[in-house]
Amino acid sequence: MIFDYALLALLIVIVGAAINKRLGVIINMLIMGAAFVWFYTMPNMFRPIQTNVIFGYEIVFRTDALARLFGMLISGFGFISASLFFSYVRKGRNIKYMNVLLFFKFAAMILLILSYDFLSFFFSWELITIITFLVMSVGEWNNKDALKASYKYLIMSAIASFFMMAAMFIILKLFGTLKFEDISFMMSRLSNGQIVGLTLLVLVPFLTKAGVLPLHTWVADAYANSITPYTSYLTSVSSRIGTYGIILWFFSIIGHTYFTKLKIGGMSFPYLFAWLAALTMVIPTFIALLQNSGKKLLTWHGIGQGGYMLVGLGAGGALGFTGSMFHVVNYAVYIALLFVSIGAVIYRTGTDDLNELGGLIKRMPLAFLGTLIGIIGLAGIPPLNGFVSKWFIYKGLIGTRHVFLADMAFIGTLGTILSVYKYIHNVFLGQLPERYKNLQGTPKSFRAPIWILSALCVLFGVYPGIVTQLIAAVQQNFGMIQSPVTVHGIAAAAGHLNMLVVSLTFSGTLVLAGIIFFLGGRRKYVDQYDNYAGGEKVTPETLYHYSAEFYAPLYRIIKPVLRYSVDSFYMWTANLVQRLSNFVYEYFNYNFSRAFYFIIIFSALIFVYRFKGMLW
Amino acid sequence: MVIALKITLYILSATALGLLYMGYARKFVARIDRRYGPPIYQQFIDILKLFSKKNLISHGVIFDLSVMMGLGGIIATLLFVPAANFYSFSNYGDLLVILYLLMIPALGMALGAGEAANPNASIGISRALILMLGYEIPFTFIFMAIMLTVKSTSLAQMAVFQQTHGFWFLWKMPFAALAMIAVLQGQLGEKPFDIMVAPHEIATGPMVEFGGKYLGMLFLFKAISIFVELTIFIDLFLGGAHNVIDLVIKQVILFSIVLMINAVYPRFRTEQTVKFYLLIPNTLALIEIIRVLVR
Repeated sequence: MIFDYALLALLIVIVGAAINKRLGVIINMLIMGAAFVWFYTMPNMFRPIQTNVIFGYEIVFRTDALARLFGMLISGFGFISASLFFSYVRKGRNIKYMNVLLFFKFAAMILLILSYDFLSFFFSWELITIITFLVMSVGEWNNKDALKASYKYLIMSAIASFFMMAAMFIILKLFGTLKFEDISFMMSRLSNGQIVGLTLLVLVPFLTKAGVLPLHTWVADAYANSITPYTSYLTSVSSRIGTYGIILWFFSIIGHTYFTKLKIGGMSFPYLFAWLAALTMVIPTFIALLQNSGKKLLTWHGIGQGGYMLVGLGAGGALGFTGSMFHVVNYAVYIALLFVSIGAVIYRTGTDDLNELGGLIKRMPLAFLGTLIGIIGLAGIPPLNGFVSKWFIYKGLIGTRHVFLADMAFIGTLGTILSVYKYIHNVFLGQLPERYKNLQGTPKSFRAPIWILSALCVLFGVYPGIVTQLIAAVQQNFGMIQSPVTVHGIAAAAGHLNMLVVSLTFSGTLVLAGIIFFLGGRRKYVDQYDNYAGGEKVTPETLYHYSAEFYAPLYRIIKPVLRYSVDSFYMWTANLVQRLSNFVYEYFNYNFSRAFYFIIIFSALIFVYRFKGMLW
Repeated sequence: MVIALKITLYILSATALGLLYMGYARKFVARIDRRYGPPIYQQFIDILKLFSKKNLISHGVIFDLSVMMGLGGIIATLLFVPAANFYSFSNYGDLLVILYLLMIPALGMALGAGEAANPNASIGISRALILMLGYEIPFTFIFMAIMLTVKSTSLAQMAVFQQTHGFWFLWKMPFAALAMIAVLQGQLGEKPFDIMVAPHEIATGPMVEFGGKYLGMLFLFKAISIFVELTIFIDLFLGGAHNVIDLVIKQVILFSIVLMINAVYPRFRTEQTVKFYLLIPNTLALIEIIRVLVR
C-alpha cells in the first residue's frame, strides 16, 4: 500500500517536473503538505500500517508518537524548503533535477521513520545515504568543493554502514528475527556486554549522520557548500535522522529501564554517552566562533546544537528527554530560518563571506528580522523557543545532579551568544559597502518562509505545550515517566517556568521603555557617514567597519587549543592508505613476474590449508 | 490592582536607588582620590538634562529599538528578582530564566551599537562579550554549587533557605563568595574589568554614538542593572533581605567594596581579563562544587 502510493507520488513528481519547472515545485509542495496532514491525523498509539514478507523475513511499517513527530518535521520542512525553489527558477539552475532529488530525499526519510524492522530500516538508511550524497553534490558556488565534501560524506557513511550491517547479522544470528518488536522483546535475554557491543556497532552510523564528535568532520563542508534550499533541509531535518535512530535504539528497542542500567568498564554507559554529547556541544561551538563564512558558522553551530539533543537523552532523566526531543523541533525551526535568511543574502550578493558583507539591514530588513529571531532562538535567550528546550535540558541535568554536564551546556550557550552576535553584526550591521547601495530586497519566495518560521519560533516559545505534550505521548509509548509539562512550561510542583508570564512581562516592559523613549524629543535619522571619528571626516572611501577577527583577543587564546583536529587525523590515515595502495600498485605494475610469484605462493598456501588432512 | 501598584512602585524605587548608587559611586571614588566630587543626586540632574536635549540623532530603527530593548529587558529581569521578600514574578521564572533574561538587554544594546556603524562601538561590544564569556563561566559554577545545596533553581528559594537555616552562604561557601565578588566586578563593568567602556582607548566603546535621550535611557539601564546585580548577590550569599532597610544597607556595603576595588586598580587588557577569570574564580568555584559534592 505504501509502495503504491510512493510510486504514484514519484510518477506525478517526475511528470510534473518534466512538464514545467514551477509545476514541479507546486506538486512537490502539495505532496509534502499532504504527508504533513496525514501524520498530523495519525494516532499516538503504535499502529502497524503494512507488513510484507521479503526473502522470508517479515518487514513491518508502523506509526507511533515518535514516527508521527518526526514525520511532521520531515514533511513540514520539506514543504518550506521546496517552496524556496521558486526563486531559483530564474537563476538558470537545473531546477527539474533538484526538485526530483528533494522529493527522493523526503520519501527515503519517510520510509525510514515508518519502518520497524532491521531489513527495511537498513535499506532506507542506505537509500538516504546515496540520495544525500547526490543532494550535497549540487553546489552553491561554481567550484568542486561541494563534490569533494560529499565524497567525504559518502566514504564515511559507507564505512559506518558496515557497522550497522554487522549488528544486523549478529541480531539475526542471535534471535532469528529482524522485527524491532521481537528484538526489543528478546533484549532481556542478552547480557550487559552483548547489548553494549551491539549498541556501539549501531551507534556508529547514527553518530556519523547526526554529526557527533569524533565523526562530525564531513558535516560543515558538505552542508555549507550545497545550495540554500538543500542546506536548510539538510541541517534542520536530515541530520536529525541520526538522532531519530539513537532515540529508537535506546528507548524503543533496548527500552529505557535497560538503557539506564547499561555499564561499560564499570561506568554508566548513558553517562559516557552524555559526555560525548557534551564535548559535541562545546568544541564545535568554539570552532564556529572562528569561521569567516556565514553558512559554515551556522553549520558548525548545527553540529554543536546536536549535542544538546543527546546530552538530555543520556543523563537528563524525564525532563532531559523532553528537553532533547523539544530541542530537535526548535532547532529545526530556527536553523531553517537562519539558512533561509542567509540564503536570501547569498541570492542577492553572491557571497556569505563575513568579512565582505555589512550594513545589509538597510537593504534587506526582512532577512535581518529572520536572522535576529533565529539567533535569539539559537542562543537560547527568552522568550523564544530555543530557551525553553534548553531550560528543560539544564533543569534535567541539575535535577539528576550532573553538575559538570550542565556546566558544559551553559558554556556552549555562552559561546553561541558570542558567535551569533559576530554573525549578525558582520552581515547586517555596521557600514554598508558602496557596491551594495542599490541592492534589491529579500527575494519573493524567501519572504513567506521567513514569516512562517519566525512565527513558529515565537509560538513554540510562548506555548511550548504544543510540542511538549506530543513528547509526553512519546514518553508514554516508551513506558517512561511523563514530564509534568503544561501549555506554558512546567507544573509548579516541578519547577518555576511559565513562558506566558515571561513573554508578557517582557512585552509589557518593552512597551514601558517605548513610552519613556517617546517622552523625549524628536529624533533625526542620519547617514552612516555622519559618525564620530575623532575629528576626521568619514567618506564613502573610508573603510569604517570592524568585522575581520572580531574577537581577536579570544582567538589568540583558543586557536592554540584547537590546533589538534580529528579531521587532520582522518586525512593522515587516508593519506597513509593512499600511499600504501600506490606502493602496491607501483610494485606490481609493469612487473608481471612479481605478481606471478605471489599468485603461485598464495595458491600453494590455500591448497595446503584446504587439503592439509589428506596430504599427510 | 494593588499588585500593579506595588510593581510600579518597585520599578520606580529600584530606578531611584540605582541612580542614587551611581551618584554615590562618583562621590565615593572622588573622596578616595581626595577630590570633592559631584553631589549625590547628580545622576537625576543628568537624566533630566539628557531627556530635554533637542538635537537627537539616530542611525536607524534598530538603533531606536536597542535602547528600548535594553531598558525593557532589564526591567523584565528586575521583576523576576526577589528583593526584600517582595516576589513579583519570581514564582514563574527561576535563576536560569533570570540569567538568560539578563542577556536580552545586552544583546539589544549590542545590536544598537552595531547599527551605529562605528568601529569603536563594535570593538567595545566585542570586548563586552568576551568579558561576559569570562565571568559567566565561573558564575554558572557558583550558582550550580548553591543549587545543589538548596535543591532548587529558584532564586527566592535560595534566599528563603538561608533565612530558615539561619546562616549565610557567604560563611558556608567562602570560596564561591570570593569568586562571586570577582564576577560582580565584571558584571558591573568596574575596574579592573572596564575594558568595554575604556574611554581613553575606544572613546567609551558601545556608547560612542548614543546621545541625548538615548544616553539617558542607557543611564536608566545602568542604574537598574546595578540594583539587579547587587540584589542577586544578596539573594545568593547574604541571605536575601527581610525589609527595604536591610536591603539598602547590604547593597551599600557591597557596592562600597566593589568601588574600593574599582578605585585602586588599573584596567586589565582583554586577554588578561579572560585569563584571570578562567584561572582564579573558576578554580575557586570548582573547589566549592567539589566541597558540595563530597559533603
